[in-house]
Amino acid sequence: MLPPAQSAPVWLRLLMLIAGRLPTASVSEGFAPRGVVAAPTTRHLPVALAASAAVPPSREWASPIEPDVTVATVLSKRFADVPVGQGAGTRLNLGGTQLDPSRIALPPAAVLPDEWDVERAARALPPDAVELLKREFAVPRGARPLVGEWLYQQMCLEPVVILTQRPGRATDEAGELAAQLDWWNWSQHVAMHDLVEGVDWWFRRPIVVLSPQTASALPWADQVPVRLVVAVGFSTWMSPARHRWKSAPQVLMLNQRSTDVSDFREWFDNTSFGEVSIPGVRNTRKGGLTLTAFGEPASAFTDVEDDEWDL
Amino acid sequence: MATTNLDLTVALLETSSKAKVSSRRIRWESMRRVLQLLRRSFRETPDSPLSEREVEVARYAWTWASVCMDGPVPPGHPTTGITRLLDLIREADAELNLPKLKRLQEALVQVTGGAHPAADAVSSAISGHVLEDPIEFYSQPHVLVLRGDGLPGVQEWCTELGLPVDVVTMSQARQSAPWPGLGFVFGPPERYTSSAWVQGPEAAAQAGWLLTAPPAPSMRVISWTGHQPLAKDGYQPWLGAPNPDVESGEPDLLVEDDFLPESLDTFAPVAAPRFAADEDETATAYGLQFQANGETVLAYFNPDVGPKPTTVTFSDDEVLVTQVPLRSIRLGNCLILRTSTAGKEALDNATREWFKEHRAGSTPDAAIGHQQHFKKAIRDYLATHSRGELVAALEREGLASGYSRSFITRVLSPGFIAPDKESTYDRVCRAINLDKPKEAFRHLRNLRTGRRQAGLLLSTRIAERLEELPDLPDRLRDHGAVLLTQPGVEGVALLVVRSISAEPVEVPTWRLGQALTKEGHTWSP
Repeated sequence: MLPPAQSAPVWLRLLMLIAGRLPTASVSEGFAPRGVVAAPTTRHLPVALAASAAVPPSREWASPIEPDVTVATVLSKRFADVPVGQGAGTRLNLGGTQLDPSRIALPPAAVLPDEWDVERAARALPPDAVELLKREFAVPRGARPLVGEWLYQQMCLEPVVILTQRPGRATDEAGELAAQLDWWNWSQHVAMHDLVEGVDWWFRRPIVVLSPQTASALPWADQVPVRLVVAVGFSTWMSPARHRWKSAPQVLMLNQRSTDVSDFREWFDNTSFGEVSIPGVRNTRKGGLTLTAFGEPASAFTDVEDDEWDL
Repeated sequence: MATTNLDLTVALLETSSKAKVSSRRIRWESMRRVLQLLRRSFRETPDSPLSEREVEVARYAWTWASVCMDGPVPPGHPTTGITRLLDLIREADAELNLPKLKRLQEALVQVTGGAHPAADAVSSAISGHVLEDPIEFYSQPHVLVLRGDGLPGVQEWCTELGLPVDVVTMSQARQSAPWPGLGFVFGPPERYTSSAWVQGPEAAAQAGWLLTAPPAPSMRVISWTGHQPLAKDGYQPWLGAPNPDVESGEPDLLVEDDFLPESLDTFAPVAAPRFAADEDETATAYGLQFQANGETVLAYFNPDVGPKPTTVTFSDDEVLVTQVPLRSIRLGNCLILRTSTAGKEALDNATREWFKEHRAGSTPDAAIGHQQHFKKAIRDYLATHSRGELVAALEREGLASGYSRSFITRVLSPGFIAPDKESTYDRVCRAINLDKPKEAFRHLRNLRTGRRQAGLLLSTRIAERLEELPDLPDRLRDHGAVLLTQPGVEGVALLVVRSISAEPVEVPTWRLGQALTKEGHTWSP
């Protein structure tokens, strides 16, 4: 993860701390790491946290492109979901384009799960984000620069998921946050750039914003990796949606000024959760935020009928 | 000032990060008297039903009080409902002519004649803040958060004084936060969310944001007589999260219940006196020893039989006179004991007052006649039967053996009136072949209620008298005792416990709870 920008406010540095450390925190076997961020508002903070959790690209990646799978990838500088077939000789047929993996690097890609049901056309990548990556991504002396679109695609392969009852808000907030240019490192800038709501953007944006209802209904949700789940509000936390990614690290954003707090306390206080040790995060109050981390049994949740949840 | 959504988010975070909380508690003597009267004389219980008029007065009075609890609203302000309340009291008094209505009216006049004690606290905090930290560009930089009952009165008061404040409810505060200056919360935050459905820790958790994610960076919790004190814990978003640091201008509400003198040298426990007693009318009791102006005084209590110890404690807010279980008495506690027939007469008179107010058609004399008749029947039975035979007779009527055995001791103690349940009373009567009049139990039940209420009334009166006495805790420490001589509470002594015997002795039941000399005779100061 990249260091914070020099002008990053205290609260943002704390969000970066939890976003950076939670995914790698050690927890007892059978437990998954969880964080809680209580704040006087849940506006802007989920996006800031998600942007801080997005993984910057690297020069090395393993492409899963092989015959007989369908992948989400970048072809001709556009996002495309394409079937992969065997081409002539050692070549692969990637949606009509012949590529020879023994001679050129394959683009970053994600294999679409069997039950993938998102019908979507090829689309252009956000040009500003790609430009930013080209400009900021360090190229070692003598090395060839990487394709900017590929760098962006890399950041989308293990997205951060924001679950919120008001997905439209997150996209507006990302725009407002991004305008504070000196708060962010380039990875955060890229992650927030052109944030859009909906499942159509899975593997096409570093952050995916979904309502819990949408997330719960995805037939393939548990077959795709996520970096971190951000649940906005306790009712979202208690919906079945986040349990689609039980073993992924998850953060609850709690509005201290809502009745969520007393509901959360009823669920959390005096419950025996596992310990997660992240220095500076457990029961910390700073910068207007209160934070903690704990381990939740990854298998405790059993499927519940949707109509039992008042979403 | 926040102009965009993000500005608002940042302002809220900065306000929370700078949050400082201080608390101040203020005595409001005249309000204490009103609340005490309402609690003690206008609370309906199964034992003490109120007339419709009294219920109406009580309802309006509590509504008025809750407006006054809400913030610095002038207590005589028309929006408090005081005019209607005083009218109701006058109407009720004309109809019922009850002394307690006059007392309530007087107490209310005392309150409404003065300013609200929080008014000065608010205005002086704001003027102090202006000197320390002038805030420019904000027309209303401070906020008063009210539960809502007193909103119009407080708004008017602020406008009259030209205070630069917004007066808002908690949900308005949530919508419009933050303010850059001072925020005022009146009473503990849980007041703001408490309801029939949400109480205690849940209410504290819901309102905790007023301190942990507050509407202004500098929060003042102002509370006064009638408010619960600020809780030590429970306002943070989860157990274990840091609590807000509350800077308190004053020490916590101090309850004084230890009046041991500084020097303990001159005291020595004495042996229990030998009581010449009829075996049937004794109880196993524990002795408390006092030293009144150098003289030894004893009192014996049984955990189940006879009167319970009555203690006096002092707090910043009030004097409390409370009956407590024997096991909770500690060295240094102050007990109230009757020292002469005047004390007994005071109780009888208070009982008569209660009968007069509540039980037209029944008199204490008739009821006492039934009480004595019942006791005599038991004594007569025991004159010809053994205690074991009485226990067996009670058990044959279906009473539990444990109850039957303890019943014999209890029934012969002077304070016993009748079993709680009529069915038990009927069984006892059948066991001893007492042909009781039909209405006997109704009289006995009235007497029991009357005595209890008279005890409470006397406690109130004693507490009121004690509040008038200066330096009482010091006098108790210096002398070990204080004797009351004022009308209505004469024959009552306050005595400091110097020794508690671990060994029980047999004491005649009629001696239980009395002040005795070391020879076992009635003590007269």
